[in-house]
Amino acid sequence: MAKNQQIQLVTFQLSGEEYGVDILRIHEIKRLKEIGITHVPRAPEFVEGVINLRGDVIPVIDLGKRFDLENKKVDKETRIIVVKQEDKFIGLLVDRVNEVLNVDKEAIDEPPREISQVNSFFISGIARYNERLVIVLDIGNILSPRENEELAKIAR
Amino acid sequence: MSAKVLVVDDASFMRLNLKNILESEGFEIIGEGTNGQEAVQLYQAEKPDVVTMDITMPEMDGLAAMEEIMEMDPQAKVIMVSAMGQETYIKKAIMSGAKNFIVKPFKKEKIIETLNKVLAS
Amino acid sequence: MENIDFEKFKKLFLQEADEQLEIMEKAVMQLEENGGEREIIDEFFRMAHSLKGSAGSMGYTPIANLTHEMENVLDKLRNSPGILSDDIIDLLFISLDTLKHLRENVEKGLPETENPEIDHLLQRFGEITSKDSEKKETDIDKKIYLTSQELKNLKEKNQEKNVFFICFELIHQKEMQSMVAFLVLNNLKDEGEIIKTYPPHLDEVEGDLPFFSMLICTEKQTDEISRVIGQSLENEEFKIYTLEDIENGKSGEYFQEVKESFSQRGESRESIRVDIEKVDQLMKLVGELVIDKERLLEISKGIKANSRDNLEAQALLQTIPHVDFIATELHESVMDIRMYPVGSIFKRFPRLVRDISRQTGKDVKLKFSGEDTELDRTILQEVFDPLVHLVRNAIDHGIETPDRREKEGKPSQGLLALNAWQEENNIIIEVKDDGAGVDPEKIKSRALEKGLITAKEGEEMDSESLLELILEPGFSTSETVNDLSGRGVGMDVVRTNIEKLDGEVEITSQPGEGTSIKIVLPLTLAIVQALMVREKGNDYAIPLSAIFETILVNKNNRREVIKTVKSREVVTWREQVIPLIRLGEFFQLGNSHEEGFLIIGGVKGRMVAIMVEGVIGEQEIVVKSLGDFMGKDKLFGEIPGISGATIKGNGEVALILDIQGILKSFKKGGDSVERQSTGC
Repeated sequence: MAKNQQIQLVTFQLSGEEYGVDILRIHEIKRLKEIGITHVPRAPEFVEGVINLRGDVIPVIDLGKRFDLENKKVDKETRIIVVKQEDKFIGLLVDRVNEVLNVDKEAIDEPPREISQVNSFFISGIARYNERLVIVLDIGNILSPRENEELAKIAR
Repeated sequence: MSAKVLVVDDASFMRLNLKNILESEGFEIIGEGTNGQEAVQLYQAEKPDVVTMDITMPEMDGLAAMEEIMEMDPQAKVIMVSAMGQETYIKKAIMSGAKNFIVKPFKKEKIIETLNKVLAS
Repeated sequence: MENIDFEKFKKLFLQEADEQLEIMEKAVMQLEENGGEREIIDEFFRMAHSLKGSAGSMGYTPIANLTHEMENVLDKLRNSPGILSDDIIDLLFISLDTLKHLRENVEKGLPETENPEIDHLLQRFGEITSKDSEKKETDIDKKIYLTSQELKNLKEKNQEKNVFFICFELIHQKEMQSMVAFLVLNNLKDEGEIIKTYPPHLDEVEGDLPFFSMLICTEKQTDEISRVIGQSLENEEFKIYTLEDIENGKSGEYFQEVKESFSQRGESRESIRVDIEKVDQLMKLVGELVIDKERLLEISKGIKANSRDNLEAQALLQTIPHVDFIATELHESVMDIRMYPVGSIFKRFPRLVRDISRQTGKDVKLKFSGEDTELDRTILQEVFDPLVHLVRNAIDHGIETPDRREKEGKPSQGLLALNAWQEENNIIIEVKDDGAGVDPEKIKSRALEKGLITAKEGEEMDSESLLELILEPGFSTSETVNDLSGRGVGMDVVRTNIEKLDGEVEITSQPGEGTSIKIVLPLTLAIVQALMVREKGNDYAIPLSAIFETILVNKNNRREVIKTVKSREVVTWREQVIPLIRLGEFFQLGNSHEEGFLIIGGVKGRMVAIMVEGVIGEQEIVVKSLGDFMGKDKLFGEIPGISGATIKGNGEVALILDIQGILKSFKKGGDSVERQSTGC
């Protein structure tokens, strides 16, 4: 019998909730203190600014603001997770990076319909790990221009 | 008596470069301008024998400065210093009285020859 | 087996025929333009001859017959260029068309059928070749491209004066040789009358020009002319011939010899093919180098202040300017690899213009200038289609029919010019005609009709802004354009394509006199000179090409410099009243300050004064995009007033201000930057 398929989730904290992203999507994780974020005036509110990623300019978005969550102050735990989708990079500002979890694919459920805090559009599922529930983000949807309209709604 | 030269260029490296070359050949640098306006003022004040004039500069470009200098002193000897591809400017400059031109980057000999030619004319 | 071989040969034949036809086409256009120059006729003859040979051996009789007749005519032309006439040119053009058609048939494997057109052509050729040549020229005359008549006239007219034929050879000067020619020409103009030059229009030539010559008629003597030339030439060769020398053939021999030696040198230049990706990679690396170089320059400023006695520090200070110089040179060299002369697309136009003129019954002369102007390869490719569009429009709707032109008192032949030149950091390609022009009033009524503007807006618009309406989508459709006698078919498409390249389209027009459409393109200088400014703790870069002046504003001059008109702040600069934009307010960064710097900038004659807290200084910046997410049609949308980003010496990002964008959004959303008079 084949072993249960597993994925590795990098989990992080955002306004008290635990989220996860497939490790294969992650390019690198940076401390906020290490890099200067340049504010971009008149950009959508959730765009925290732009950073220099080895010579390329990439945006950093504040997931908290984007998901309309309560905002935590920036502190020494604040991280930027640089994720990659089809050669495009984007930085996600998160409150804290927790750990890497090996989760059975079977242990990831469909997101519940009436999900309250985060728009279900960005969520690919809910992972159960021991007693913890981790919200698994769908990076493809966050970065996909096809869903422009959907995003515009949230941006408002 | 050594010839008096006014060097005009917004890049300090270029000015330094020209200055080194010219001084080593016994020219006297009587002024350095970093833009067109300074060039015109320095020309009026110092009455140099010859001017090397960069074209692209802030405030007032070399072409405009050259034209003002020519108006002040129709006998003025101005050599335009140009980057590649500025044909249009050089043409205008020649038509308004520039005596010669030098293309950046230049060789030492070229500068000296051109200056001597212009001074002798 | 035989069949396979035949197919192979056929393929080869077709390939060669394509090349030969192309060269012949070019040649016939040159003949039309410059008359019967020997080299062109020779080349043409060779091509016709080889096509005849291969067609004959493949058994394609019609092609062989036609090329045979062409050969005869060309041979005749060779011996007496004077017989070249519009008739012959026309005949050659039609023959080429027919040859192309025949070539198509060969490719498709269609059988050869009787073709009355070819018989007719052959007949016309026969008539020309049987005629006795009327004019004969001596060999000597041809060598310096003076007809015997010209030579005779010269001698008669200028018995009192001297006529000199002067040949120049530039051996030392390698850059901008055409400017040397221009300088000499300009100086010699004061000494006498320049009758003829080689190349023709010497004052319009740009780029490499190792050899050129002039024919001057003057009262001065050889030594004086020689002295004048000497003033502007350093160690370069030139020879002065008298009219007698010309007659003796001395000058001709020299001319020919030098010209040949140069054309051989040109051919022996070696080149290699390089993958464009490798060049891009190189470009990126150079970009990184420039960033580090700027960093070094910044560090060196600190050293200067601190350690005058430290020898190592001094050595470093001497090395850094050199690194600066090398990095700049390296950047230019890499840029140069990507550059291509605009002429490479211009040369596709003569044929097109000829065809459109024929279809529309117009008589159009096409002129070029600035073919040597270089532009980034990728941009150049993208510019071709819009240019075709503009040229088509100019002939179709701009230039009038010969009858109409004569009635208007214009020469019956219309003039269409494709010009290119460099202006600061832009390359400009202009399509200019001397046709009917566009009437702003007609545009206004059309735009009102289409609902593009309101009546009130229409009243307020000047003719320049009215002309720009042509570029708006939905301005015109094909049926509206003709009654406008103007432009419009797909002009919005032209604009969209050019804007994709970060370029602009500018229209000027005088009703009755013609229209000029300029495509303004960035040089793709990935590295530009910029002024770094600071506002609310953020650094911004402004390209120097858009800046005219920087003015310090303090307590003392504040009230003089900044005035309020109709509750909007303005600045008077060189007798112009220009709007003031406070960067902090524009970017919604918070309260404004009363002291700082005014950056006077402008694009396309529209000026703006931008107030910032501080000016950091000038530096070279590497232009980068804002990434995949910000910008027009991207996920997070366009950022008003920002055109891109750059990396500062400390590794952080600085945004690049877009003066044009600021002007645009200022115009649109004027309210957001409107400011109550502070009353202080």
